Amino acid sequence: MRREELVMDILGGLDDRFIAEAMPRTGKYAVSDSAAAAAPITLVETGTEISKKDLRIYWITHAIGMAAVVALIVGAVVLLVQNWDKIAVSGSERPGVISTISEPVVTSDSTITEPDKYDPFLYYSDMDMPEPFAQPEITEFYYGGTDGWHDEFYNLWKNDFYMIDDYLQKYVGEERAMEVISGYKAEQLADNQAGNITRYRIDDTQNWYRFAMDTGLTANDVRRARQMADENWSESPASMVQEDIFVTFGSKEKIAENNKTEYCISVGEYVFSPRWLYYHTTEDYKAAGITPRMINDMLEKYKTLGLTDEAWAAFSAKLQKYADNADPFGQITDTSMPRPFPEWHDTDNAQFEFQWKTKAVGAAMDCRGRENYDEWNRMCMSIRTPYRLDDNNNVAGVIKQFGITSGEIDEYFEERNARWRESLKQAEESGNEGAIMNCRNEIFSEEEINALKSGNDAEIIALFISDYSIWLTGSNYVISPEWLYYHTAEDYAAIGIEPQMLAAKIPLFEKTFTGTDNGEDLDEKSWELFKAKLTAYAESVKITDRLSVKTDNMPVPFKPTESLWGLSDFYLMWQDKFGGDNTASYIDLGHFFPASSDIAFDIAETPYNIENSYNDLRYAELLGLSNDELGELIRKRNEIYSNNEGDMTYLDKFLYTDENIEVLLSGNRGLIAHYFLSDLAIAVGENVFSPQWLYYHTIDDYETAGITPEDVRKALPMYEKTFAGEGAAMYPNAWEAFKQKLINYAYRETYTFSLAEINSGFDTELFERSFYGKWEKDGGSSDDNGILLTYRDDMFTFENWIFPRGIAETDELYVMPYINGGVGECYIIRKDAPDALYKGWWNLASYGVGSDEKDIFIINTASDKYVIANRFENDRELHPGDEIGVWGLYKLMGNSAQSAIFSQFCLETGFEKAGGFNGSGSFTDENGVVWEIAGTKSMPLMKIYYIGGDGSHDLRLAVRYYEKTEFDSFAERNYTFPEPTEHYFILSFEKEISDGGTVCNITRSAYSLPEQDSVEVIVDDGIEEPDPTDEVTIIEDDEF
Amino acid sequence: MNDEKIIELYFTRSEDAISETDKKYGGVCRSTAYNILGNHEDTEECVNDTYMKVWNVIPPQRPAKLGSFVMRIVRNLAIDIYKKRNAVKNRNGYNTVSFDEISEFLPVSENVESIADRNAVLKAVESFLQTLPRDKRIMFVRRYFYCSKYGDIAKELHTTEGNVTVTLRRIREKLRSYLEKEGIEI
Repeated sequence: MRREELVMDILGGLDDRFIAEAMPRTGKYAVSDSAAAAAPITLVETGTEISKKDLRIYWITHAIGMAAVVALIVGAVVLLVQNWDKIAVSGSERPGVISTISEPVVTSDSTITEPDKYDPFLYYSDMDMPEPFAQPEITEFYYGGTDGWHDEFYNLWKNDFYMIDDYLQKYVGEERAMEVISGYKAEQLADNQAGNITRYRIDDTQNWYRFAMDTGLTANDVRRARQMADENWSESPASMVQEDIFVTFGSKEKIAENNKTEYCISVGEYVFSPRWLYYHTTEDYKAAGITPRMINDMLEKYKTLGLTDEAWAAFSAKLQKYADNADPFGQITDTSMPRPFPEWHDTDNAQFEFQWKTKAVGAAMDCRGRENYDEWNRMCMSIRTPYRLDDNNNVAGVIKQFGITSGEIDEYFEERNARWRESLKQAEESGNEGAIMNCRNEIFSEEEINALKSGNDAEIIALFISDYSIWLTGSNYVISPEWLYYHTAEDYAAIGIEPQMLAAKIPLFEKTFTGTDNGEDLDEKSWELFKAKLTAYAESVKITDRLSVKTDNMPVPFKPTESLWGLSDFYLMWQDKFGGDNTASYIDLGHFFPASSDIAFDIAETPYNIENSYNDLRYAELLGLSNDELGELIRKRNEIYSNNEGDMTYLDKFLYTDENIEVLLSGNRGLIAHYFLSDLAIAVGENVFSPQWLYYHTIDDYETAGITPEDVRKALPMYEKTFAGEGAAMYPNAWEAFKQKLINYAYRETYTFSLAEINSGFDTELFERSFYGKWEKDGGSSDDNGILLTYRDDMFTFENWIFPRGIAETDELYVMPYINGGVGECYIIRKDAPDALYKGWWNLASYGVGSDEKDIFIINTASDKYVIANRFENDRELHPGDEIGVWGLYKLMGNSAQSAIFSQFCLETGFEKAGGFNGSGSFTDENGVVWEIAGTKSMPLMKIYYIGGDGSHDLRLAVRYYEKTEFDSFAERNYTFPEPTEHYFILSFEKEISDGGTVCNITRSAYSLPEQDSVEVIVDDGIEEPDPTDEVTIIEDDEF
Repeated sequence: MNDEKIIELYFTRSEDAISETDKKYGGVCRSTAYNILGNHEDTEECVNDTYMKVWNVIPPQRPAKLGSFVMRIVRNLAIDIYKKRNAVKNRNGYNTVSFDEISEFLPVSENVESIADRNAVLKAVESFLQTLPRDKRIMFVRRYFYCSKYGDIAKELHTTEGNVTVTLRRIREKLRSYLEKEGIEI
């Protein structure tokens, strides 16, 4: 016999306790007492499945006899039947989380009772760690103290918490106290003997709080005991009263957090000692819910643990590697916040805690059995406020984490939706409105399911984010109210929450979390603190810090030879009288600046204000002048300047008027900033932004700073005058870049509004992003000058010769066939009714500019019914005049799977089959499109773009609209603009409705590029009239 | 069903005793036998022989720990079957545990046939196991008593297969040193 065989034979005689200890407790070969063992046994190695029945038959023939077969099979069946419910239900339960960990209890006969649920952190997992200390590691210790021997490494609790005060023991009775405390000691001893290194809770180890609970002490008992101690025993009890501690900390979780040693980490109710961290892997850290940030916070502290050099090298390397993944926002930072809900409120508050709509959380699939599911699930649940899609247990997170396939998703939601639809049916039958709403909310739409299958984070977040959360689109962080509650304003700023985002949420939070009396209200004090924090942040003006860093990589703006002072227009923000270098005048008047008052001019790209720039108010503050003294000084200076016999043209700008002085001394800094602002600067509140700041910052910063497009629009002409053209110091390319940026921002609002309007109105692919683009000159030669509306022809196909012809800033989008001639018909699709097609016609032979297919325009009829038309190329049969019919569906998918607009033939066929105008028929064509006539219908007033031109070399854009006159007719007006190669503009027409419901007034306005003659016309509101010098032609057209 | 009740079934000569034993320990019995034999047919024979043997020895015996009792039988029977099935020259190790691996914790010995006292070896190994932390002890027993695969041990102990491999190698080294220090010869 080989030695190896011999020793293996010998090992067969190992003592029972070793064999029992190592017996598999989990996994497919685990020892089992449960009925689940009645399930078929699978030998995974070969995939061979051996049923109980097989085994029993085998035994019959080999050992026991036929009679046993019947008994055993019957027994198995009975077991199965008895436990059928459990087996059937278990698969549909929500993923479980290990919430209670039971340690093995060593009983007197040394048999081991295994815990119900296995503690995954019980044993060492990092086997590579060297001995931590030069001395042998102690193997028996208490979790509250090791008699000074590397306490920091072993201890869980602060001494005051671990120790059970003598007065409490006496109050309970020393015999009883010793009995309880001995139990704790025995537990600890057993733990030591077992060599366990695990996490602990308050209920797992000795501490006075557990003692009070175990001995049934009430708060009053503790209070009385303490009182007795004070009176009789001359002791100074340190423990807080049981009630007090709960009021202070709110939960065991908080109690643990506040009573662990400073070297320990707490996650929920669990406390982890440095020893645990030392002997466990970072995978265990993660699984236990310990965040990198928690580790990061400990790194410095652990240097003092007294580990050997070798041990510290290994430990610190492990910790550092984990801490490098530190997520700066994953841990509570505002520890001053109390428990948010009243103590009795022990249920989750979905609106408060979840980032997602409840169904996204409720539908998180059960993936038990998939690799690492338990660990992941535990991690998700152990993070207080996860905030990204992949970070927590929502349906999308599960799908991503476990690679759920599209097929599985479909299958899952088919079953789930069917279930909820059935519940909905029952709810509807019962008439329970709340239940009906709940059921509806749980059903996933096709769009939602498709988004989940797409895996596109932004798409998923957009659909599933809770109304109460904040979505930071740059990082895809989704912030719950709970996160806001437990984090500081510094974290808000660091993670990228804009103050205005919070401002929008505060009213919603207040409405939801207070005064509802539905059990979901925050504690009054909690809300008070929360609201104060949110409000302070929402109103914070500390954006200046973030705006002081150059963010836009612009070209060199000026010639290098230009002196700084020659560039004053670029960076000065105050009028000369207020912000000039007037130090000399103060000195002349007997005021000397203290040495500490360094007010050297700083031309950093920062928002300025009165405090960080030269100005009279700042000088006065530095000199400690009172208001009266400053007024007196200004007046004296005025007098000196006025009496100067020199060039008063220069000095005039330094003179203060009485009104100036009144403002200066008003103390209203916002007013002062705006009042003494230079022509080139922009003021927002007390902050002032120079051209230099605008030059070096992005337009996103403009927005953050609170600068409005209107501000920039107003400043643009002056900028052009100052920085462009002959004699300007700025390089042409620099100015071009600057100008473009300013224009982009100045007109962004209108431009983006326009796009947003288009896109938001069209929720089908027919319209989606199809028509925005630009009007550009295409070198055409006809009298329309070839202005081309570009559109995304890669997105859909037009059939026949129906073309999109433009965008009306109204509810309509119009399409029409190209027909050259005098009478036209048109088709209109309204944005607000995308499934309806309007049709109309108009004889417009005398209207329009040019006769090219690109010529289009919109008119309205005298009877207030507005139709859209184009010119006809050929004479065609006319349809009835001013009737407008509405049809059914407007789109279908083309052969290439792109959206297509119906051909004219198709439209006409459908139209006729539906009965023509005023018809009441309905028919379904081969594409499943239902055609029906909805009768006549009024259209709203229009705001239009019209393109045209006159003169092949003098291209002009014309905006034509029709305005109802007082005689109930319509006048055509054209706004024309000189040619740009690319031009964004917007016209806005608003109608006013009289009490009688008729249109009584039209207000219109138009915006163009600043270098053009801006047309901004607002009629009849008394604010501004068109400038007659503008290039605006007004054509009265009686014929129309 | 707990062990005491199962033992009672044996004592009352109830056939349920075997089915209950199998229900509770069948999985681990089969895995251990298979880990040694690497053959399903032999495994089934081994397990059934085990039940037969248990049936025959209880009563009169009343094991304190039925599980350990059954496991010891199944393991020993498996090793016996292994020896019968394999000629000496072909025996390089069990299905999951090679002799090379076992030899790593054997003391260096000139006299391969020398063994003073099987009981002394066993006591020394048990003493050594007492010095190990519980998780390492379990690893050792799982590997060299139950002949479990590294992967299965890792899964149950919630650690990686690599960790189990490394840890067991260190334990083997320590055990060899320990046995040498104790003057054990195998």
